[in-house]
Order: sequence, then C-alpha cells, then structure tokens
Amino acid sequence: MIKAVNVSKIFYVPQRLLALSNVSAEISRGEVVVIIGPSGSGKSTFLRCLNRLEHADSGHIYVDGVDILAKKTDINSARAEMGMVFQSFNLFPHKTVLENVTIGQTVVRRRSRREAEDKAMALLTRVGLAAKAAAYPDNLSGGQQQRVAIARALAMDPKVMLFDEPTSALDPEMVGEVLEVMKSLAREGMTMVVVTHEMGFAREVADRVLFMDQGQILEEGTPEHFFKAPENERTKLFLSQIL
Amino acid sequence: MSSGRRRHSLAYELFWKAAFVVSLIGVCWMLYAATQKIDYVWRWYRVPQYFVSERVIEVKSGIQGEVASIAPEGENVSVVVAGDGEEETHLVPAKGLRVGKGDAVYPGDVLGGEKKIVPGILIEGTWLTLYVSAVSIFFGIILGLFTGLSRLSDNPFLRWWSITYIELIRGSPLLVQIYIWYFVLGTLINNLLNKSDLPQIPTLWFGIASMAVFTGAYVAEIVRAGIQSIHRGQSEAARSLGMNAYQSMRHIVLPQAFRRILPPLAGQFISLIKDSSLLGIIAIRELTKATREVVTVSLQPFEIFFVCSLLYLLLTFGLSLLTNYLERKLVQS
Repeated sequence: MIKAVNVSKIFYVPQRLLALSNVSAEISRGEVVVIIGPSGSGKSTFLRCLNRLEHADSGHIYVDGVDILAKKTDINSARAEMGMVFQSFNLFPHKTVLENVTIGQTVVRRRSRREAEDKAMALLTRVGLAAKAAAYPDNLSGGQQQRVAIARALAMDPKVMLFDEPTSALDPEMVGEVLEVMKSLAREGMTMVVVTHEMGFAREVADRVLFMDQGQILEEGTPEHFFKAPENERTKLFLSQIL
Repeated sequence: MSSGRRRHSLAYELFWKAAFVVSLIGVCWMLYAATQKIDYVWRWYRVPQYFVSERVIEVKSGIQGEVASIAPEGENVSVVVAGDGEEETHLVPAKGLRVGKGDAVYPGDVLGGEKKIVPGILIEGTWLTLYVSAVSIFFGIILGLFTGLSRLSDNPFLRWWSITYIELIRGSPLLVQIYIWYFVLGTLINNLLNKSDLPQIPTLWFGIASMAVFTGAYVAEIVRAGIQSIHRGQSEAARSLGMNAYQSMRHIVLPQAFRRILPPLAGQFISLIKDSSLLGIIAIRELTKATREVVTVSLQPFEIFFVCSLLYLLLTFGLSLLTNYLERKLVQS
C-alpha cells in the first residue's frame, strides 16, 4: 500500500536540521501502524511526507505503486486517496459542519450536492454528530471538531488514513470519544498510519509500532514485542519515561 | 468594545454628552462670529441653483421665409419654414410655440422654446466623482487581487513584477502619477492611436486608469496580508482533501481572508473617493473642480466649499454603511 524508501528531509530553521534520515518503511493494506517517539523525532514530518505536505528531499514514496515524489505524478488525485487528520483539526471555520464534510466531495470528487450531503450525513451519524450538521465548527468542543475532521477525511473514500497526533490538542475527557471512532475504523479494516502519544491506543489497536528518534526508525515490531521486550536502548529509555 | 471599560453613572454620561453638544455648537458659533468680523455675508439661498437649474432650450430658424405650415405631432408640433426655394422643418414643443402660420421669419428668429429642469453642476460633479470612483474601485479590486496573489507566488517573474509595481506606485505621489498618465502615457497612446487611424481615448479614462492603478497597489498589499493571516493549516487541510492550489484559494482561503480585509479595504476605497478630487487638474469636472467653478461664478466660497465637503461625506458615509452591512452579513454566515 505505502512504501517509503530512504526518505530524507532537511529543514533550514534557520540552522540545518536533518529531520528525516534515510527512513524506509512499508505499510500494507488493512494494517494499522502507530508511530511513536519523542518530540522532534521526525514522526510528524514522516507522516506529512507521505502525502507530500512536506516534500521529501530524497528517496521514494510509493502509494499504491505510484511514486508521489515523481514530477509527473498528479499529487492532487493521489492526496484525494489519502485522508488526513490534523492535531489542530483545521476545520473550515466559514463553513458549517455539513459543508465541511461535503466540500471535498463536490469540489474534488465532483459528486452532486444531494449525493455528497447524503454521504456526509451518514458519516456524521457514524461519528455521533448528525445533530450538529448545521452548526459552525467554532461552536463545537475539541473532541467534536476532531470527529468532524475524521468524517471530512472519510467522505473522500480514502484508501488510507493518516492521523497526525489527533488527540494531542484535546482536553483529557475528550480523548476517549476520538479514539473510539479511530478504533471502530481500525476494526473495519481501514489502513491507518497514526502518530500519537496514546500508548493505550497503540497497545490495543496497532498491528505494528514504529519508534522514531532523531529522524530515524530505531525499532519496529508488534505492540507485544515493543512494550514488553524492546531491544533498542533508546526505546527502553523512552518507554521508562512515559509508562 | 465595552470590555475593560468602566461603568459610569447616568449623571456622568449625561453631563459629558451635553458638554459635547454645547462645545460643537460653540465651535460653529465661533466660526460664524469670525466671518461676521470680516463682513462675510452668508447667502445660502444661492446654493440650490447649483443643484437644480433651469435651462431654456430654443428652436431657431436657419433661413429667411415664412411659416408654411404647423402640424401637431404628439406633444410637439412640426413647423415648416419655406423661403426662397428652400424649406426647413423644425420640431417645436407645442406649449412653447411662438409663431403662427404665415409669419415672416429671419435667420436666428426663435420659433419656440421650453424651459427644462436639469441637474446642476454640483450634482453633475458628484455623479462624476461617484462614477470615477466606482469604476476605479472595480478595476482596482481586480488588479489588486491579481497582484496580491502574484506577490505570494513561487514564480519569480510574477513576484518581482508585483513588487516592482507596488513599490513604484506607493512610492510616488498620486498627483505626479495623474500628470504622467495624462501628459506622458496619454500623449503617447493617443498619438499612436492617431497614427493607426483609431479613435482617441478620452481624458476621463486616463483619470480612471491612474486611480485604478494607484488603488490596485494598495489593495494588493491588503490582499496579501489577508491571505497570510489565514492559518497555514487551512490550506493544508484543503490540499490534503485533494484540492489543487486554485480550488483551495477559491473555496477555503479567500472567503476567510475576505472577511478580514473588508475593513482596511473600505478605508482604502474611502481614500480613493477623496483622492479623486485631484482629477480636476486634468480637466475632469468631478466634484471639487465643479465646486471651484461654482465658487468663481457665485463668489460664495464659504457655503460652496462646505456643501462640497458634505457631498463627499455623503459618498464616503454611504460606502461605510455598505461595508458595515457586508461585514455583518459575512459574520452571520
């Protein structure tokens, strides 16, 4: 499904910073992969490279066999196949909840208004927010906004969902409702790549865990292996600090 | 607005409001008293004629002869003057007919006429100011939007041209730019048109061009600031849905930016209305030039200039109301 080969990314902020250094990873269809690691480890950068919100400086990223870093690739149609959920939700504040979920469908997928609204209402019902369809995002709680953002991404019928720390900006009591939606997605067999600090979610839902630090993947394996018998020293240190 | 403001007693409010009104009247009275000292005579009754005036339209004979026939034609009558082997037909308003059948007429004799109520010079000037401003605002928005977007483009050609344009226009006085448009570009363009046997471009359009190009540079900077004020996450979210750069701009970024730039945009357009007073120097008879002409004829500068400024206030205040209304409407949605 997704294959990253020797991906590197350098930021100049303003000093040279090697955010990703020769990262390779493979994610197969239906798999839930959780990426964890300390702040500044490059995990969000790696995720954002997967749909080219950050343009990797070198390496190759294949999504469904298409090299998204190639010049002739139509990145817009590639992105439409990949749903993305952001830490800060990024809902469109000038549009209602319903419009947030329909706009991608009508503009990008060229669906009719009726069709898009039916689909949006079905998805909003699914995330438990059908009653808020006419509300504006600013009038919703953080947890509700993030669930709308998930519905917005799902409305495009993506083949893979990318989550960039979806619960990090939420009040603690709202984390659960968002994780519930993500778990139900995982159970349905959605391919998911999740950057998170929620170890409970990783342990319970992940098929595979990647641990990143200093722009590299230091360890990868099943949650079982990862939480019970980590091999890398850095991983052990990280886990001892957070658990 | 009220946040952080202290709540005052009713007496406090009333006292200071009354003080405002009294001092306002005081200022007006001092001005009046000063004019009395220099023996200025206020003649407000002379003002209305510059708003509405009567014009007499006369129909005159062009030849010598006599009135051959008078035949009604709707509200007019058609008068036929027959002379030495020549004949003329005139359409004259029935009410103002001054000749009868068989009358002898000479060239220049009045066959008939009527009085017509026409808008006065101040109304014409106000209308021209409104027209010039509206057209300049329209083109200024288009130019400013395009330049503002180019200013943010990755393409050096677009970016550098937009910077050049903005800095060039903002860095020189509008008065000088109007002269350049009229005396330099106007002369060049009209001479070239003349050489190709094409019709000339009227002065008015060089005036409008100078105003539109001037405003466009300021609008561009307002648009740029508005777009940059929208969080990057908005366009990232739009792009991650698969929208291309244009769709993201059109559906997500610009609508949000527009709300924020409406107040500074309104300010810019109010300035434009006032700046159009400079166009008088290239013989466009907008409100200020019309006012100066009226002052020369009426010799009542005090009244006329006050009236002129009130007319400007009317235009700018109207624009303020319109943008306030738009702002409220956008906030609701």
